[in-house]
Amino acid sequence: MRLIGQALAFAAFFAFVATFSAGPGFELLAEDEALLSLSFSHAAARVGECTRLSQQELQQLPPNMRTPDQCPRGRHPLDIELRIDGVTVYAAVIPPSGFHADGKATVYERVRLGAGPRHLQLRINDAGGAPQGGLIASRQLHVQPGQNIAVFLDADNRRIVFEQGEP
Amino acid sequence: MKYLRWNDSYSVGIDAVDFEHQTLIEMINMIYAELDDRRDIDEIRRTVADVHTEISAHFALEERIMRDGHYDEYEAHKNDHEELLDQIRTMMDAIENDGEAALEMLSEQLADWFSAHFATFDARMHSKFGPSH
Amino acid sequence: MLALLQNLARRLLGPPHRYLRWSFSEQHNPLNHLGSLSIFFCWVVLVSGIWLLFFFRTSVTGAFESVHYLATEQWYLGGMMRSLHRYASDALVVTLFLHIVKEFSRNAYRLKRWFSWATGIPLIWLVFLLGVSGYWLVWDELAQYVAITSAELIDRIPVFTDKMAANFLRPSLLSDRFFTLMAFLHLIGLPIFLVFGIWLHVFKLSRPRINPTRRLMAGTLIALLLLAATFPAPLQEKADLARVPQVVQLDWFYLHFYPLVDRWSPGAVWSLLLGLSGLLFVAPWLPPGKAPAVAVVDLDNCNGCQRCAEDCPYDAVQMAARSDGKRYQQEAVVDPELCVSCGICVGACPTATPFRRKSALVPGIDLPDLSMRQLRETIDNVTEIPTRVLAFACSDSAELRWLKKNGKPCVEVTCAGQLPPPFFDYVLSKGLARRILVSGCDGDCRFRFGSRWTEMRLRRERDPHLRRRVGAHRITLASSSDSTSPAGIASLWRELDNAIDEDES
Repeated sequence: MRLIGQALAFAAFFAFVATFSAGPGFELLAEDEALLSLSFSHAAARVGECTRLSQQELQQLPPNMRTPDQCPRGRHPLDIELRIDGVTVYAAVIPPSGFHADGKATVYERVRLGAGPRHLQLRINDAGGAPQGGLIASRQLHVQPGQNIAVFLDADNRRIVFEQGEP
Repeated sequence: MKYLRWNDSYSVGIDAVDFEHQTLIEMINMIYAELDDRRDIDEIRRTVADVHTEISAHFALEERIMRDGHYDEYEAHKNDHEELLDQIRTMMDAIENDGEAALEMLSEQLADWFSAHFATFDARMHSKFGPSH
Repeated sequence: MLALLQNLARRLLGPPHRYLRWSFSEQHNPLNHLGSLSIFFCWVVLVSGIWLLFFFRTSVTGAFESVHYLATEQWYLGGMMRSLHRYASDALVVTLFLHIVKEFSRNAYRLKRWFSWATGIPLIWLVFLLGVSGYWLVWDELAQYVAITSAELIDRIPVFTDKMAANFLRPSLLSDRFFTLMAFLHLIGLPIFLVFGIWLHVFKLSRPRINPTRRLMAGTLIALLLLAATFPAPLQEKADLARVPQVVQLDWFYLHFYPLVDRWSPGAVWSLLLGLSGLLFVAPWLPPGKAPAVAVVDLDNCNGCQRCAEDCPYDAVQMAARSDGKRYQQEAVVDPELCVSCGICVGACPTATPFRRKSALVPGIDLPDLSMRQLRETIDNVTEIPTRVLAFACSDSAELRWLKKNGKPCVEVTCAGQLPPPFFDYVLSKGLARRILVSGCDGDCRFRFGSRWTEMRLRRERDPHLRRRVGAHRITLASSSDSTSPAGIASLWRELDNAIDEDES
């Protein structure tokens, strides 16, 4: 009799274990949704022009610091805007890393979007609003449900890439 | 009343045990003295209780020493300890209940206990734990 | 507030404990072996893991394939091992949780006992890290989700500027090297810390219990094997970083806070985890309490017989060289940092006998807050009119409440192990009571050995033995019966009454 009690106890315990060991499921996306992953690091332009020092000014500096071009260290922040079908879904200003704000700014954002034909546009301004600074790219994509569309900068850091995996 | 007296031949070779045996001899002699003086029965009962406490501690120490030394006669010796403690308790209860009558048996019993257990079990300890060993 | 929570926990654990006590017997009651069962599950995980290790490939392509092979081609052995590995890990989380709740409910973590509790917190972290890294290795869809979410959590820590999570968003960015790292963590790094951590967790206790009883281990293993055979652990689709699975079948034991990373944010989840860990860590001192006075040795009455040191569950009593010049070798010394004032040492001391003597009742070791003299006084007061049954109950026993409520003659002690058998002898031989009821903790002893030592002393298996001339049938241990319900204890009391009547007739 007690043996049955023991068996029941084990059964109940392990039934509980088995039930929650691989479920219930957690929904990451709706059935007709995909994900757009914005992920890259980019070094923006420096915050000012380099100045050239005259001989006199150079003499005043210690010998190991006498470079003719003195350039500011800091960089501009990245001004990012992501639009899907004309609607802004993500806009942020990402500061550069480092104590002296001279490192790369890292962008990481994941956005859900519906499947089907979509117009994507990414604008990156990395020169503090200067007209010649920045990158922009648009793409008309057919988004499949469950896709992870990666958006990043190519190796030269001058071109935006939209990557969809093989279906 | 034959008072007990310590003799060096009683030594089992362990100073702590000898010390406690000497203490016990003194306490038993105190009971003899109280019996001689016809002291109050309650006082005698308390002295016996003191002996009981002292012997309990003494036996505990002996048992520790025997266990640490892996004494092969431990079981028998321990058994005798339990037996003796039972007898002491019986004696204590008898004094409580029977009073005077029990006191007469008391002095005999005390001497018996001491010589019987001591001469046999404790003496054997000497051969195992004594200095000449 | 604290008492409220502890009572609630005890109330919740009560019915399962009684059911398990009935079916398994108290000795094999799983709820008395939660810590050692957790270790047992670690063993199962280790052994099954070694088998899996032989077949696992640490590469992006090989990882899933090798696991898939074990689950399908080698289902009878590798698949079984995989299922054992998974279910034992999940069971571990459950027993660990119950273990924490139980020790909390029994106040076994407070003040001086903080060390065992505090060293348990890193163990919780290690177990979860092991679980998460284990899921990562499989490299199925679940692993993909675990990888990205874990990386997002790690990225939240302001150490590096590059995002680890970025590596999991494009197939081309993931390298084999990553699997080697994760495998190293899961197979070598973390397990070493876990083993060390377990040792640290128990090393301050005397006679720590590392294993459950053999019967319990056998039963648990059989149940695990049956489970693994009937419900093999599932495997989801292979990971594909160019896709996102629509639904992931989570292991809710290890990954219950992962959905929160998306729903809230990585920062919020960290605050939660660190906040909980911090709360657990300071719990022993919340609310601040005053520890009761530690045990005190009286050298005039101590001859170094060592019984107290042998019985102390916390190694708080040590023997040291004699310091008062008496012709004894040793004396007992109490470490005030370790002594929790349970009084078990007093129960072991041969000079703790209450029979009135010329010298004062001062045993070789005593608790100032509940000294032997106070105890004798309490007994004398409670039994002014000789009672039929006298109960001794520890403050944690289930019977105490019933006894007080029903006005039964009862002496409350900190721990049943505090009672030297001569006290029972005293009560019975002086006719203060006809029967004695000793009531220890419900379940296993709050001070680890109190109930057990008392039982053994009454059975004359452990010093100090109950005198042989005292009929052991006149002393009943409540813990040896099913008395914890009010009906149970009432019927036990009636039984004792009847036994007394039978004696008279």
